[in-house]
Formats: sequence, structure tokens, C-alpha cells
Amino acid sequence: MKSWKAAARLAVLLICCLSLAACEYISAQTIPDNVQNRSQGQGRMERTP
Amino acid sequence: MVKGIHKLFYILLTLFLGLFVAASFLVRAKYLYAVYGDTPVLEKQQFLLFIVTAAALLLAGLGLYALCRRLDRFSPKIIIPAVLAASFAVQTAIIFLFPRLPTDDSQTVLTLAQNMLYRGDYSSFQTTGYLHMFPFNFSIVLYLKTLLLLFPDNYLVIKLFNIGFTLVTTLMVYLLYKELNGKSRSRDYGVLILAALYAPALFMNNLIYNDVIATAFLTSALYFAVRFMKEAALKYMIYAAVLQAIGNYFRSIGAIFLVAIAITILLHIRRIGVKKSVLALAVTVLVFMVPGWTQNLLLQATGKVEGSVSANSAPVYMWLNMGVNQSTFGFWDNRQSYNIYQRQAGYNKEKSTELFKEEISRKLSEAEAGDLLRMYAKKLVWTWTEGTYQMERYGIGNGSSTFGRGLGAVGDKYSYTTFATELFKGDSNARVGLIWAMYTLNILMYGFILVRLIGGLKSGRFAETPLVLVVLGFIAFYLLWEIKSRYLFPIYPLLLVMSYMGFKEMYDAIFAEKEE
Repeated sequence: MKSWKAAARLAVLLICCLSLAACEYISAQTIPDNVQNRSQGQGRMERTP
Repeated sequence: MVKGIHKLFYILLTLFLGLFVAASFLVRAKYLYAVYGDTPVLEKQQFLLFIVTAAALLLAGLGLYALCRRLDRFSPKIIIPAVLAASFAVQTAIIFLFPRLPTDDSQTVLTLAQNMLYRGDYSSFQTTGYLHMFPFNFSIVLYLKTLLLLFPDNYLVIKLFNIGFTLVTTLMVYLLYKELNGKSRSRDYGVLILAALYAPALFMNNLIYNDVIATAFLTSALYFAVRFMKEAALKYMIYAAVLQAIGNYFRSIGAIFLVAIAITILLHIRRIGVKKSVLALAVTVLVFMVPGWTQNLLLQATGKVEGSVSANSAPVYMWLNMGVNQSTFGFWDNRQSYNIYQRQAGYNKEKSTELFKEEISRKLSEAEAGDLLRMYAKKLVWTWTEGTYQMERYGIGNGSSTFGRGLGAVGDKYSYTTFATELFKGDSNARVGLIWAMYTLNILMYGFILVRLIGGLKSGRFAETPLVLVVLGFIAFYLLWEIKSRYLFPIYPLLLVMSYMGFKEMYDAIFAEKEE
């Protein structure tokens, strides 16, 4: 029982550490608001859908 | 009579798959954006490498299969969540390690979702707009708009939803397999693990588009349709009809699934009963139309558009025209067809339809029979033996590579680079090796499907007819339509199911462990 609790605590700690480390990578994947694309018309047509 | 029809479908698919496998001994179909740009490549097969890779994969498969059988003593309640959790972890790692940014249509639909959400800008439906030309893509714009509204504006959110859909597909592969192979005494976790770790599916979450979503809905629809055909309970057909309609709303190839399901219902009309069959067909066709009708009604009622959105959209003949091209054998024609619709016809559907019809008949009449035959053979072989669904570009992605000039230029980028993006850079061994492995795996899968089909023909067992029909439908459709091997992505679950059946059949035959 004790070992299960210790493992669970360790897992939570690991997840917290990973989340903290991932923060930078998460913010780096923010979607920019592509207002500039509007000047190219109403959507580009480069390839077939 | 009915058995004869089943047989005919099986023989047709056997012939096509036989052609694909045989052709692979002579030519290698390739798509490697990092090296060749956005173009299909057919070159002489590297026979020795092909055989060695196939042998290595076969050995690995045999080993993994034996390992998977050991899991049989565990309950599905443990194994299924555990496998899906492991798959989720791998897929999450991929979207962090390969932070591919959207390109071309994928980027366009995301920008349109932002324009609609943040600026109420629906001008894309107006002449020269993207949705004027491709109104069917409003479904993905609407979906992305909803995600942007509810969650933080982050690519990871959209990709995590993709992962959710891929996990549904994985589960459906397993359930569909069990449904079709109900007599199996084994728990068959191998097919679940295969689907959970199938690289093209794992990487395709990086594509912010409709492929992954449609695949999940259409595979689920097929699963419920198969249940209906077995149990004749109408509720399953209603689930199937709804799922199919949603899947088709995202990608219009849902129509192929509709036709396949309808034919299979007709083939089972005696078992299901005439009344139930007619009702099931009526419900399926009716529900199929609902998303399109609703969309048109709502857009018009809210004043976003005047008249039908598809009144002046690009006609189907545009893609058919792209599909007849000797130099590209049906791949992207570098805006030739777009120019006919946009410049020559001024975004007019009727006018462009006439122009495309003229262009198609000109191409067909000017070409010699031999050239046409060669073109269709190349088209068929490249599309069906490329084997990776173009995951190299849409899944792994490329860092800062640009091909083409001006309007046709396509640039691929990552949000940031990692050790993985460096490892898979350009024509690196990792990238080329993975593509080789997936290419060979695909051919092996065709081989196993052949085993299953021939086994079915010999024993008169035709449970997989709906799957066979969907694959035949895709073969016929992409013989005429513009091609991309990515377009075959919605049937990867069906290929996994049928190939695993063939693999198991072969394994049991060789190792003489009869289970069924």
C-alpha cells in the first residue's frame, strides 16, 4: 500500500515537472492572429483540399 | 446469385492488390517533400533493400504477434485502456517533438476560422474567396472556429483533439476486427496494438485539417453498419447513419462509404428483412443530406451568404481534369485547372464546367491509347503503393523548406526545432528509413489482405464485403479524380483490419495452431 502511495506521489511530481518544462513549448505553439493574410484576399488557394 | 456478387468483389480487389504488389517489385512509389518538393516520384525499385526491409518487418511482426498473444490472459478492461494510454503518450510526444506549422489549405482554413470568430468576416464566401471555390471546407472552418472559441488559441489544442479522434479510430479498428472475426477464441490484442502504433496515423495528428476527424467518424459508421447487418437492430443503423453523415460533412468521400454500406445491406436483405432494409437505407440517405442542408439554411438565414454556397463553387470536373494529366499522372497540376476556373471562367461554375469538359475530351482524344494506359497505370500504382499517406510532409514536417515561386510557393516550418526535427531533417537516414519501413509495411499489408481474400474465396466466407467495397470504391474514385496518397488515409483502418486477418490466417496455417 505504502509503495503504491509513494509511486503515485512520484508520478504526480513527475507530471508537475514535465508540465513546467513543457510550458515553454506550449506557449511556443500559440496560434498567431493572421490578420496579414486578409490582405492576400479571402484565403489562399495554393493546393487542392 | 448473392454469393456470386460477393465473389466478384473479392476477385476484383484480389486483382488490384495483386497488381500493386507485383508492380512494387519493379517500381518504387515515393513522396519525399524534403528532397523532391510537392511531386510524386516513381523510380526503379531497389530490389534488395525492399526484400531485406520486408523480411525484417515480417520477422518483427512475427515476434510482436507472439508477444501480443501472451497478453491474452489479461482482460480487455485492462489492455484496451493501457494500449490507448500508451498510444496517447506517443502521439503527444510527437506533437511536441515535431511542432509542424500548418501550410496551404490547412493554414487557410485556420485563418478563415480566426477571421470569422474575431472579426465576423465571412467574405471568403464572396467571389474570389476560398469558400466560394471550396464551400465544402466550411465544415473544418466551423470546427476550428469552435475550438478557438472554447479553448486557448494553441496548435496543441487542435492537435490534441486530433489525437482524440485517432484514439477513437484505433478502438474502432479493434471493435470492427472483433465484429468481423467473432469466432476467434483469441483476444486479438495484436490488431489493437498495430492500430495504436501505426506511424502514419500517429504522425497525421500534426495535420490541422479534416482527414483524421473524417476517418474516425467513417470507421465508426462502418463498425455500426456491420453490427446492423449482423444483428438487424435498427438502432445500430441509426448510429451508423449519423456518424457517416458527420464524417461526410468533413470529407465528402463519405459518399463511397454510403454506397458500400447500401450495397451490403441489399446483399443481406434476406437476413435483415425487406422492411428493415428499406427503412435503414432511407434513414441513411436522408440523414446523409442533413448537414449540408442545415449549413446552407443557417448561412442564408443569418445573412452570411445569399443563395446556395455551392452555386458557383469549383465544379467536380475541375478535379477530374486534374486527374487526367500525363505529366503529373493526376497529381497537383500547378494551378492549370485553377486558372481555368478562376481566370478563364471568372469563378463561374457553369462556364468552367463547359471549359473543363472540353479540356478533358481534348486530352483524351489527343492522347494515344498506350499513353493513356501508361498514365492510369502510373496513377494507380503511385497512389496505392506510396504507402505513407504523405506523412513525411503532413506529419513529420519540414523546417524552412520552400519549393516553387510566387503564388505557388509552399513553405514548411516548425514552431521550434528539437533533437527530433534535427534527426529527421532533409534526406536524413531517420526520415528516409521511416518512409522505407512504412512503404514496405504497406506492401506487406496488401500481401496479407490477399491471403485473406483468397482464403475467403476458397472457403466461401465473405464477412469483409463492406470493407472490400469501400476499398474498391476508393480505387475507382481515385482512378478518375485528382490524386494524393494522403487521400487514402480514411481507409487505413480497413486495411489494418483486413491485413491483420490475413496475417493471422497465415500464421495459423504455418504454425498449425488452429484457433477458429
